[in-house]
Amino acid sequence: MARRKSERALIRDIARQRMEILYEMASKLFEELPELAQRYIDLIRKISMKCRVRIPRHIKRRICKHCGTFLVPGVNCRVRLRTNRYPHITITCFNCKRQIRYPYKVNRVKKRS
Amino acid sequence: MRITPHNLILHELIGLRCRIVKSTDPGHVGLEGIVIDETLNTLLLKCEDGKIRRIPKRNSVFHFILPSGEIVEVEGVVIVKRPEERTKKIPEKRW
Repeated sequence: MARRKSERALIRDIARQRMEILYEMASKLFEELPELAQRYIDLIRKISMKCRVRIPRHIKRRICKHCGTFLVPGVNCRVRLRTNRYPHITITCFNCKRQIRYPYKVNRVKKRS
Repeated sequence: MRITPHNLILHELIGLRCRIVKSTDPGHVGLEGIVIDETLNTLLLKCEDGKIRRIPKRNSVFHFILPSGEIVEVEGVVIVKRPEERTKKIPEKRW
């Protein structure tokens, strides 16, 4: 049993490293070969699903939630800060034209009396 | 923990340098390049002359050059798997 558990930890570790490697290469290649970069991003999602490992957050925020496109601000998505109802970031994907919202917290500076 | 000769088979092949040492196709022997894509049965190599070649994994023996400079010999048959499924399970028979 103990051995199985460590095996699983090993696999998760390797899967995370693979995702990092693929993400790095995708962001390097995006300007020259956007299709290949997209292929790497698809691989990241597949690895995460097959190995049941979460996609690291900084990578996940560069992937469209709806269509799986690699989002590059200023090229195929629009990023806006919005504060109606609750403070959040709105990312509009130009591929599927849908929006992703990520809330953020505002650090309020306490006034000294 | 980075890519080591021990976990190479489970790890990412895309981006590594690779040379073909043995193959049933004599035209493939000695080719060297960077792996740019991987499918169930093939590796896509970008060779030094700029051409992109699709090389079957079965019936070849590869030398992978790790970022640390180590060279690992891998029988093609061992990596006949989809790229996302290679990490899934550690094969019982150790390489």
